[in-house]
Amino acid sequence: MSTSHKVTGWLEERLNLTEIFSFFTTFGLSYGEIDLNKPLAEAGREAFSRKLPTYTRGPYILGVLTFLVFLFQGVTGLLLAFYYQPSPTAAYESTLLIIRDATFGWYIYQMHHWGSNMLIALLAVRLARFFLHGVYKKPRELFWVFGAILFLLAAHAALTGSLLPWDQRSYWSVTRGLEVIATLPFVGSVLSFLVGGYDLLSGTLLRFYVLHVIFIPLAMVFFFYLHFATVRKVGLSPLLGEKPAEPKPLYPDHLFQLVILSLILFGAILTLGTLFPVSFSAKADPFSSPSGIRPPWYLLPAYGLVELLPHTLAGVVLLLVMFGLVALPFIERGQYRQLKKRPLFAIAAGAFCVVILVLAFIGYRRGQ
Amino acid sequence: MENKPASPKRREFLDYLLGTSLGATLLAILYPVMKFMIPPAVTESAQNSVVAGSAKEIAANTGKIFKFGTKPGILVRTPAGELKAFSAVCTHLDCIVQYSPEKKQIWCACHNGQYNLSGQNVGGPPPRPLEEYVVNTRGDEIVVSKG
Repeated sequence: MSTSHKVTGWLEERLNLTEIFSFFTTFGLSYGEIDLNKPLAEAGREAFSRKLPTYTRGPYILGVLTFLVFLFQGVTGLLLAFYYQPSPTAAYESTLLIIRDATFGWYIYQMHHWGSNMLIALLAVRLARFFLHGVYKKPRELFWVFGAILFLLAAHAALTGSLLPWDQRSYWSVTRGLEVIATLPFVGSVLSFLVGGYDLLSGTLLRFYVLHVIFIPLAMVFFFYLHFATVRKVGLSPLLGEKPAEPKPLYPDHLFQLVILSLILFGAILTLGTLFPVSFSAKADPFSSPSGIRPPWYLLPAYGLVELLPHTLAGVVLLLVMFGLVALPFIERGQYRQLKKRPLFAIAAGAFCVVILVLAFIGYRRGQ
Repeated sequence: MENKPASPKRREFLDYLLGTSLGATLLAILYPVMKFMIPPAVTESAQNSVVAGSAKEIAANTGKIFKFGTKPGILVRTPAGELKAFSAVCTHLDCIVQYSPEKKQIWCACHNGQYNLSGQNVGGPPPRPLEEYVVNTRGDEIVVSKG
């Protein structure tokens, strides 16, 4: 009997290892049932040799990749929290300490910054794929709902996080962003209550910090869990128009795909962080607003809209778009998944994308 | 069929490659993380000396704690009027020592460690004498420097 068998045997008499293992697989690694009555080695072998439809490979595993980037954000964020101090007097200096003095501090700071952009981008691409492939047709409406909520949460996590360095760029960029949020009817006042007002002095930084490191991440874990739970219940959506491919086992086929894709993904984050580091300017000064500051890129379309329309109207439109985004599966209820069999929505989505790009451009120009 | 015996070797080689690249990846992650966790050296006052106080404020047979960079030091004027300065960190367990006018000794309240006015450990648990500093007066200022 090998040592590892002895160790797992010893642990198995005291812990339900299979249950712990099944907890990990709950978060997207393996979609099948885990038999909790079997010892870990056997349950693991079963889970890893289980044949899954081949379309869980390639771009179709965006959900798991998103979750991995989310975990990456958790780890780099935890590391930053070892030095960061969330108070207006110490925030800038502690960020400076991270970037300038701590070994590899700049590296972890840039990883966290680019990771957050990657998370938002992945969630957006994933929603686009859901639309193109009609993934959210009955009974998978919740895939879209949770995906859209996660997208909004990730954007808020990024917005609250981008204030924390407390330099001129982050301070005024978030101020621009809050101008957008302030136009939202009802939601705006709730958020205003949460962040303690629209001016960013004193208490706001601490509130942003708490939202950024505790509240929003917990909410995201909750929705990730709900998403993976509904995947386990209704199964992944079948491929469009192709005959079902021959299922392949989780190990090595699917797992290697996942490893290769995540290496590419994290390689991209490292490369972006090294070649295009986000700037860190002078300490935030609420009494001197620098020129050329824009809201974060994911808020540019909304910023453009706020520039274009009267504020109240812009707020109502933004709110409707957000509700429409989350509730899309209940708006488009046709049974067809192929894009050409639902031309109305295909055209509407195309027009929506064009409008978003134009508004983003307007927002970008306005910020100059 | 001729190729068949070569196949397991190639597989072993690929496994080996995969294993080492996995190890290298882990190392590439863990090394920066470990280095990051080590607190950066606080730019310690490169100054080798500090003004510990004014000559007037410290009477004979009294002592005073002052900051030497991030560490405490103790400045003592002996009953004979001589100025002495030591590290105020007890050599026993890092408590902060104080001057005891009654015993005319430097004394540590934590475990009753005693040092004489040359910083020698003369009673209690301290294993070593206190580190002594050089004291100079510059006008009214008392300047303490590392020897």
